[in-house]
Amino acid sequence: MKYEIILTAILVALPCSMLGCFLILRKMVMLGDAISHAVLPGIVIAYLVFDSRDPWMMLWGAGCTGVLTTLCIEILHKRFNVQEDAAIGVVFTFLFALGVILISVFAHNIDLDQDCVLYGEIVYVPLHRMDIGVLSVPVALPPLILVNAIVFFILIVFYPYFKLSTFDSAFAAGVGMSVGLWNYVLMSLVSFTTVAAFESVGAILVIAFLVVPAASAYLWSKQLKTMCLLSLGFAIASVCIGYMIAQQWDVSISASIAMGSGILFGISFVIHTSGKVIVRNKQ
Amino acid sequence: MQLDVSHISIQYQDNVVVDDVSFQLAPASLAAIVGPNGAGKSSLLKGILGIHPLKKGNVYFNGQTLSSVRPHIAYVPQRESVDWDFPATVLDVVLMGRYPHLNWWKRYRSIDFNIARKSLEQVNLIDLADRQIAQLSGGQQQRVFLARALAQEASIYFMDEPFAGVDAATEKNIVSVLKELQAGGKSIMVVHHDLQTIRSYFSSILLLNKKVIAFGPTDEVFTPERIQQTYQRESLLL
Repeated sequence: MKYEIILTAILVALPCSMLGCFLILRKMVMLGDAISHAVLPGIVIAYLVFDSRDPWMMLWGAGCTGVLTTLCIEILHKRFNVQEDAAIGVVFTFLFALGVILISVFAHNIDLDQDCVLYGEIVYVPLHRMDIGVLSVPVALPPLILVNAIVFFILIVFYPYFKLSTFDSAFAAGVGMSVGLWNYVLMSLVSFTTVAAFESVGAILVIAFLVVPAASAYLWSKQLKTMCLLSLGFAIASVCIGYMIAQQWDVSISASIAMGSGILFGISFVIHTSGKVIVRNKQ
Repeated sequence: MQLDVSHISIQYQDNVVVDDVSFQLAPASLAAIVGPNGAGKSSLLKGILGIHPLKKGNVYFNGQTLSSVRPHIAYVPQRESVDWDFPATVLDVVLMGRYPHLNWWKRYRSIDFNIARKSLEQVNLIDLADRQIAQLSGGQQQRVFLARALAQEASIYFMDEPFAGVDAATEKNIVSVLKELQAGGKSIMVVHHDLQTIRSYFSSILLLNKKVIAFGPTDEVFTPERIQQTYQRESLLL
């Protein structure tokens, strides 16, 4: 039981923290935040159309909405000159609200409630089980494992493309790279990850995983590769610290993990800035 | 490499920023693009390089279209266009110049490291190869960008304001590298602002203010009347 909870949290933390590195460097963290909320109507519509809580259907529904969100924001920003942050705010609040209304009109007495979407309930993960052959596993795990496989496969194989288009998009376009394509690939990955993740851990923890480990790793890293690896490390450490806090004081696991990542960021920040002061004083 | 630009126009929404520009750049030219702010200098480069779509017109390199010769074309964007706090070392950035020569897998071979190091030597930055780019001065950043373009081993180079905000030593270094490239038969087009240095740096010049005001050898084209003509429209617009 206990290990299944930790494993679930880590399976969410790994792809989020890796994608987070690119979001931070592209200054698109808010877009990750937006997608993680805006996928809600996609999930509800997938539920209504297919009349099941089959995670695969929801994954598709939400993945499509995620890409749609990115498209809407880009169109508002580039075609109609709406400021990017304003465009993000308009699109994601609209879509999230639409999702909430869809739930309360069509799906209010089923097992798809708004609290769960926002905060998740990771303690229940081991309770919903399914059988794969002789193995009994939590329902939440197979989609998460698939998402991990997809995210890491794409990010590792196409790492040089993501690196160059993130650092210098004009140069990347100049050498013939399709900067737009890689942007959409990244946003699709964020969408899929978010959806697979938030049923079990909630949107808030997903955002924490997208932002905080990568932000901590950024402080320590001289190279992108280091940043990605450190970010994964910080994410796993956050899960462990968070789980211990939750056990100790008997509080929400998701919240404790988010807090754990915040604590690690705080420590990194203090050491990093005081280190800079020491170097400056020596010089 | 011969560059033929014929009747290209570039438009942002309803705003025409480059209007019916044509010129031919001979091989081994070192040319400046000069014009007031908003004259479309950067946009012209981006249009030629296919970064911005062309509204009208064609661009040919040795008679071929961009896509068939892309590995032979190097571009140095404005220094401010990237975030220098990005976690990368000097060598990382210069290695990016090798991308056009790699297959789809884009993993560096040892020859790429050798070429990147040689490029860093050309711009006097080899000692800083492992330094994080966030710790560089403006002039050093500009030379990193130049080294990345050199690592591309291109036939034609497009540079957007490489002399903006750099120290005298960097400027001297860049000019000598550009002249070496020209001596080696490469063509270079540089967006340039400092009218004082044009005669000593560049052999030809494109005076641009949305349209081509004049194009040709610096001695013939760079006359007070033409310069006035180039910059005058701005005051008319204001």
